[in-house]
Amino acid sequence: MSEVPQDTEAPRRTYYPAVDIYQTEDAVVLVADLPGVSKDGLTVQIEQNVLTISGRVTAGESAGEERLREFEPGDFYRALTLSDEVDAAGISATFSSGVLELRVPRRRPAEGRRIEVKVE
Amino acid sequence: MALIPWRNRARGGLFDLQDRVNRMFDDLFRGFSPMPWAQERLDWAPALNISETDGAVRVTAELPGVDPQKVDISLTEDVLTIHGEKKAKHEEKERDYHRVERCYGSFTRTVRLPAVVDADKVEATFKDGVLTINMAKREEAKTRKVRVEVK
Repeated sequence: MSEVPQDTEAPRRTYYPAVDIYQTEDAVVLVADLPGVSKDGLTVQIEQNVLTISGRVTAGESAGEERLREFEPGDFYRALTLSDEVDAAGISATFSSGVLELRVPRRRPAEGRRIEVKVE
Repeated sequence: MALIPWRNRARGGLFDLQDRVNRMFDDLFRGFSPMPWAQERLDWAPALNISETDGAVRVTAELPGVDPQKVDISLTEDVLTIHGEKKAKHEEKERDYHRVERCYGSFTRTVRLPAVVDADKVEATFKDGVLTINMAKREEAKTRKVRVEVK
C-alpha cells in the first residue's frame, strides 16, 4: 500500500490513501482505499474544483502486547483537483468495505455550431 | 507441542529486519509481470498486525474491497494463512487510467503466531475493510505466572 505519513510529529498519523483514477465515456471515477473508516468517519467535500477526502479511523484494534505491526492506525486525507472537463456538482459516491468510489460526470464537449454569415 | 521461542527484544529487531528484507525481495519478484502495463501488479500482500494477551492472539489485516466471504483462513498449530482476492470492480478494457495506486489481485499471507492456538476457538470479523481474527490460545500455551521462590 502506498502510504505516506504526512504528520509524524503528532501521536496520530494521517495517511495519504491509495487512489485509482480512471475515466469512462461519461464519467471520471475515483476509487480510494480507506480501510478502517466507517461511514460516520468519512467526509467528502468539493469546493471550486478541489475534492477533499478525509476519513477518521477509530483505533483500538490491538489487544495486549504487539508482536507484529505492519500498519499503524491513522486517519486518511487527500485532496485532488478535478479538471474543468468534469461537472463537480454531479458527483455521486458509494462507500463499502472501506472502499470509496466517486463518480463525476464529464461535461459534454460543447457542440460546434455553424454560424450563418449574413452578407449585407 | 512446539516450544514457544524465547524472543529477546533486541534480537527481535534484527530478525524483524531480516524478515522484512526477505519479504521485500519476495514482493519484488512476485510483482514481475511478463507484460507490464499501467503499473499493474499481479498480486499484493496486505499489511498485518499481530498482538497477544495472556490467553489469546489477535491478527488484524487491512483488506479494503475484499469480499469477506471469499477469504480463506486456515490454521495449523501456530501458523496462520490468510488467502483471498481483491477484485477490480469493473472491466479493464473500457477504461482510461489516469492513476493506479491501489493494489488488487489475489493475495496470500502466512504468518507464524506467537503461540499455538485452539483452532476451534477462532473468531473472525470483517468491518470497514479490516479483518480481525481472534484466536484463543491452547491451554498449554497460555501465559502462566511463575512464582520464584527465594530460598
